[in-house]
Amino acid sequence: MNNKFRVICFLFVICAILAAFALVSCEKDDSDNTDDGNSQNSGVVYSITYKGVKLTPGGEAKAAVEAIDEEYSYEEVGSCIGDGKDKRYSYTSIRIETVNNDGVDYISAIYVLNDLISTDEKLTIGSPEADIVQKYGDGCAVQNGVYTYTGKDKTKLRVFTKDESVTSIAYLWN
Amino acid sequence: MKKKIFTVVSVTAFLVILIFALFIAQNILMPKYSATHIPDGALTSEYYAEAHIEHDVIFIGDCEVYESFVPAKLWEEYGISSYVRGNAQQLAWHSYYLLEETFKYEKPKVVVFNVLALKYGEPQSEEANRKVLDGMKWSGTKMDAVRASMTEGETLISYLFPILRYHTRFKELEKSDFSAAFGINDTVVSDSGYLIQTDIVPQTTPSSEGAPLMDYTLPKKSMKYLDMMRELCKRNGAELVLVKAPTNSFKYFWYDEWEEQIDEYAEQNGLRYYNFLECVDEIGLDFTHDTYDAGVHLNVYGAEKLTSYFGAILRDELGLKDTSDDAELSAFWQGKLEIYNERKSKG
Repeated sequence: MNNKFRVICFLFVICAILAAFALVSCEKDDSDNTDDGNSQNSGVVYSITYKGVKLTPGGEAKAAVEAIDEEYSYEEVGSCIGDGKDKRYSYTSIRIETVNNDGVDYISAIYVLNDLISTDEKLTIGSPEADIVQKYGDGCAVQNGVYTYTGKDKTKLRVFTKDESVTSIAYLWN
Repeated sequence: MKKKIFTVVSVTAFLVILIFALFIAQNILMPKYSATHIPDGALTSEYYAEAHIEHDVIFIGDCEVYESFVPAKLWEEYGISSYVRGNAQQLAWHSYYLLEETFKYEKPKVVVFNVLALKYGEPQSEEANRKVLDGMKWSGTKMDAVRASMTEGETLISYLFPILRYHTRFKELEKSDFSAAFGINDTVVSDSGYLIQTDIVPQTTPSSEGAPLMDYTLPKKSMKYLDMMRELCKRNGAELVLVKAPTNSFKYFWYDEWEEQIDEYAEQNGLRYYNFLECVDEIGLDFTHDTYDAGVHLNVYGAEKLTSYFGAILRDELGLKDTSDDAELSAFWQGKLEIYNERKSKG
């Protein structure tokens, strides 16, 4: 009887160890790891106004696209991994890209395409590089001539420069 | 003494039953990669059934490989035996280790690597890792592949014992999970690694511009694995050939800056590099017809055109011979061709 009890205890311990293994392996680190690391996190949500419509990275795309009173060209592509389609709407002066999460399209990026428009802070493609810090402050990460400002709600402003002049402006989400 | 024997026998019997039960449970709980459920997850494991066949060419890389080259067609037109070892988002290190494993089974004359995946310098997703790695047979190579591929939060032990990762799937089990676990209705999804797509979804707006990048330098890590693949091919007497599939979309855009780096790399290392984006017309591709997803990948009609075009290069420039006079090989490929044609006609 004593031996039987020991065997049962031994088997119970093995089962407990296996169960513990299974539980431990389930634990995943869900911490947000999306920040650049170098840039400052300000209280600003970076966004741009186009044709009177405020466009915010991370915002729902459908309403924004419908509100812009201008024709656009349209592309959509599937993904090699995962479901949903990414979409791209190209207007005269901006391009909006979207990602699909659970059936809803969200704005993932807004690109300024030319100098026909300015950002809400009056930065334009072709502006001097010095204007970037003057208009948006020095709370940014700079790498390869690219200024990255990280704002609230996972929004980012990224300004690309070459030869001391702004060449491209992007508003990003995540 | 009797009690001791009883104890030993009981414990041994219990452990054997437990291990067997866990093995069965693991088979049931693991995701089933089949024609109807996540077919692109079956690609890695399907290779082993054909590893005994002599392949002159191994195609290796991401989805741009397994949707672009049709081994059955290459055999039919040129008598060249080949296999595609590709997976969705198969990154440079995945490709390196799959190639290392391939060389343990066979010695191909040519290895064709698609360069798009070189843009990724870090592991991208567990989903992609699982699709590439879960189907690999256990070996030191697989261990190295897992170590090189894991994203944050993934553990080596969950690849060793997938039940640790998938045990929560019991809530979503279907009848097919049980049948597939015991090898019932276990259908092959690919044609020698080529995953057929017969739909036609035209590309209405050809992508001419990708989003601006912070840095156009191809990552050191992926280029290191390209170096390793080059060395591996050299040690095994295979010629490494670089290609870029003829598809371009805003999401998977091929930048001029990357093209320059690959051109330079190929030249410095004496490798052939074929960018099929530059010869779309010559290949005869029509993106209103030859793509199943608006230009991201070729469908079967586009893939056959590209295979036909590249077959001539393999024969004329790389000197691969028609081996259709080999009776055994020919019989094997005849069977494969019939399966492929049937799958294509069913759509």
